[in-house]
Amino acid sequence: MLGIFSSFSIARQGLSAQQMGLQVAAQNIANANTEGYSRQQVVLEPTAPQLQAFGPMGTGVKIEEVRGLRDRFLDDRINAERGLFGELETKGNSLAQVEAIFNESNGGGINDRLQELFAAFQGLAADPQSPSERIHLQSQAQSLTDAFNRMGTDLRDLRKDQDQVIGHTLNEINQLTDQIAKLNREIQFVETSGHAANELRDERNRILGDLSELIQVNTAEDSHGQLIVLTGKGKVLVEGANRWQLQGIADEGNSNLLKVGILGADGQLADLTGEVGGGKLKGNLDVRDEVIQGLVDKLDRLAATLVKEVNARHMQGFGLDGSTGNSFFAPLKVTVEGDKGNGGSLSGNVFDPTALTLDDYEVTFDGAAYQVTNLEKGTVVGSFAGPLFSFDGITLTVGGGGQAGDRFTVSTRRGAAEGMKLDEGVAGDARKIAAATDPLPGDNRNALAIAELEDSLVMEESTATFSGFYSALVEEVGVEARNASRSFKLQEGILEQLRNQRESVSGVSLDEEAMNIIRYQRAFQATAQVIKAVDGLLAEILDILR
Amino acid sequence: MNFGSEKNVRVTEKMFYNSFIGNLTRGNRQLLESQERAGTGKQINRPSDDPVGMARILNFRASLNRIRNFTQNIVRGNSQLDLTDTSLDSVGNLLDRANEIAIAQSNATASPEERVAAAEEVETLFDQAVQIGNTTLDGRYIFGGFKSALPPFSTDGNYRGDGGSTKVKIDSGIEAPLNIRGSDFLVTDLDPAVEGPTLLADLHGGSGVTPGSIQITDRAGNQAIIDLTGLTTVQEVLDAINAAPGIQVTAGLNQAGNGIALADGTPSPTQNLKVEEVGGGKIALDLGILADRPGDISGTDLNPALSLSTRISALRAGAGLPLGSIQIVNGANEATLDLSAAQTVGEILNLIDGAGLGVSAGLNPAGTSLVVTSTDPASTAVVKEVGSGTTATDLGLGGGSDILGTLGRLKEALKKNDPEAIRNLLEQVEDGLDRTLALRTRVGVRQNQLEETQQRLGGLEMDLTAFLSEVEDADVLEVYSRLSLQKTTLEGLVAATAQVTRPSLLDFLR
Repeated sequence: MLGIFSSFSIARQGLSAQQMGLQVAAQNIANANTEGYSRQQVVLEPTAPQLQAFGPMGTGVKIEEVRGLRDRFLDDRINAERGLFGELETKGNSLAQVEAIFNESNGGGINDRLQELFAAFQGLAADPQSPSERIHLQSQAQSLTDAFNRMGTDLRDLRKDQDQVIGHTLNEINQLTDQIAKLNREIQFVETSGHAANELRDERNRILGDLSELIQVNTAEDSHGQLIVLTGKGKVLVEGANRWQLQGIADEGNSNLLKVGILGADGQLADLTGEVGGGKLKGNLDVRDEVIQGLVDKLDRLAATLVKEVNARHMQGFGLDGSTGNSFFAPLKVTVEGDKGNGGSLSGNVFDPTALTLDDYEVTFDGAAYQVTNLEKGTVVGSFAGPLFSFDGITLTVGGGGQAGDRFTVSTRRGAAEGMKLDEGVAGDARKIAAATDPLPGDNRNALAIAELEDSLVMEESTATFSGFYSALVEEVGVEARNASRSFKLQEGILEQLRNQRESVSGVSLDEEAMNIIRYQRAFQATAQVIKAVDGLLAEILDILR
Repeated sequence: MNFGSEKNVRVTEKMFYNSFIGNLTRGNRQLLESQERAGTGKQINRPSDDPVGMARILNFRASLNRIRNFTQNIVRGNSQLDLTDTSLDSVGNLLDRANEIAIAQSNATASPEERVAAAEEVETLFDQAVQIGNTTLDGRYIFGGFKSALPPFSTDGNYRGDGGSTKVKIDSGIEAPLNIRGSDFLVTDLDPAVEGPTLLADLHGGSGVTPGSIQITDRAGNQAIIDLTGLTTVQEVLDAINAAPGIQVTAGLNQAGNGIALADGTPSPTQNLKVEEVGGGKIALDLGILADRPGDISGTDLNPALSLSTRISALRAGAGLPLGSIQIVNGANEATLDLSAAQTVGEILNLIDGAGLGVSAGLNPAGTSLVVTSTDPASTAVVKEVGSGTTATDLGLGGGSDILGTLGRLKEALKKNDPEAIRNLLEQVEDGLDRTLALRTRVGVRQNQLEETQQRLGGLEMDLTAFLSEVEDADVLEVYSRLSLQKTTLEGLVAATAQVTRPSLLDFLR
């Protein structure tokens, strides 16, 4: 009798095992298109045999586990590659926007307008008395300053756009680390109660992948299955159920754009900007602070040199109204940016526009004297006691309250492109344009001298003309954009290959699942048959007893 | 599809879809690129398409713009040269007529009445020559040098222009001289340089300066007010500035020798060198040093008039004149004078006046050259060269580049009925003709230079346009064939995917 009931028991276990098989197949099929889902497999095992007189006898089947099929190593690699992918994608997209600003393929950009300006000076030389030549020159110069202004503004706006994206990215990162921390807790809860947390792990890995695309991270799993997430340089973002939030810090030294800060346990914000090793965040930071800033700086240098050189010659000449010493473009100004926490202040003005180097300077106060260093050349210009000191055409005035350690950056080219405009005198009265070397109406020598600047090697330490410098700049933008797009395509390919590998391991194959369905269905039918047979046997026995 | 290195892989449905989407995206991207090329006709549509090519395009375009600009300058320059040539031709015709008159009237048979009538015709020729001297192009007086806003010649033939030489840029680094000045052929301008002894009253063509004071601020910020009232020479002004206490400014003559220069000796300057008027005066402006400059001041052209004290070495903008001998014929009087010992203009005049020829030597009203007039109502003084010398011409006495003077003297000789002088003046008329011919040759050489440059630039423009097109323009044939190939590929891909949906086991489970 025991044997018959034991068969019942085995069949019951068999039924639930095959049902579980069907259920897992159904789960797999249902998640065939779920991002990050790893296919599952029912692992069946025979239950422990009972020892009978004739030896050990099987007692049925049990479900050992429902295993998620994933390759941890592959997951890690994909996440790492997604960091680079995110960085390159951002760079590629941003550089395409930068490139659009510098796109001169249809003409009409700064390159053409530069030549038109000098052509207008030559036109003025051909007929220095003519009001129409003067007005033409005014409008050509205006359209050149407009082009510089627009380009400067566009680039600054683009930096701001990048900055906004950085702000959003920080929020996204916080949401993702938040979710990882929560999942850590849930996984620990499920797994300590002895179950497999397949879906939760899939979800955590998917979120980790999304996080990796935003910021490069390293991960480790502790003995409780808790994921520790660190930045590329080892700052902890998530540990167990805790996570540390990122927060933007307005950087006063960088036009109030955001630095990346991490909120520590002590409630203090630490600067993390330099430690962002990859991901979209790194891409945006690089584009904002290096690529675009570098271009803005070069454009400023071009504009400032043009203003300096044209003005230097223009001021020597005489207008048709007999006036002299006029600037053609509005003169360059000194910008002083003090560090946060400075005790004193500095203000500056240009006393000799022809002596300007257009380099940036660092001014530091040691309590007794101000030391001026040329940042570009790395040379010390001099040490001054104040309250007024001059170097390279600039006069600085000390505002008082200076403390040892005060530090300032002084520049005459910052914002030159965006702020470039015609001098008010010349803009208001074309007769003030100084075509003449002596105050004579037919004298065209000064106009010719200014037109000569077109061919003068005034850029890049006297090695390039204005237009040569600009076309090199456009070339540089093109190279950067092309490299970014090529690297991105390469990375896209690498990622596609790795994802295919993962799909091959973890992806759901409908054929396979169809096979499984048939397999478990048939087994279920066979088991049901067993029950029917045993039931028949029992009926026989009961009949006999009746 | 990219399977990596593994061969024995599980293949899932998703891999098929991903692969299809990937291929479709790539195909569309390429098609878009080709379509853009076909649409714009350009190989390079943004810098990243070909950064080096883009830079070359910009450089080619820059060169092309400059060539077009130079060509425009040449066209404008040519119109001025053409007008100059026509004007010189007209002056030549006037001189031909003057020559005919002189030949006819130098004949002993001509009557005094005929000569008076001829004098009137010569006067008309004179007026016409003045008119030609006042020729304008687009409102500019082309024979006035830099003083091109006002007519350079007064009706009586005084020159108010200057020696300014205008140039036009015709190629990078090449500036071609353009203008012929009135002082090159119609009148003589001895153009004295400014020197220490130059009288302030002679500055600005004899208009002088308004007395007053100036204030100088040196580059260290030191100031001095200098009273220049009562000073008479440039040297006194320079001394007064140099003696001014407190300022580190040295005054001297400028490099061009036509004005005053101020040099600042401040070791580390902190501001501009400034020269200002005091009390609403205008002497700083008159002295050409009104300025506010980050550096030394080179004063403007003070354009001194000739005066008796003007030194010979200062003439011709300081280049000086080598003086030789001249011959003066006035009726029956005739003498050869050696001027080589003269140091000043006054000494020349004294030598001529003292020769006892019945002539009076002086300066012309514009203060640009000398004049020798006969004091005898029946004779005209004619100054001739001695041997192959050029002294008479150089001083503006002997014709050549003094065509208005020659016509004036011819008119006087005709009026005074002095056939001897008329005969003597024939030589000057011919010199004038030679002069216009020489200038026309000079203009012709310049026209040739412009034309050659224009042709060269034209050739260059064609080459550059071809280069530009090579880099910039898409190869239409290639673009269209690629476009159709890519289109076909994409269509094939889509059709294949649509038709060959992967057979699945599920299809067979009925």
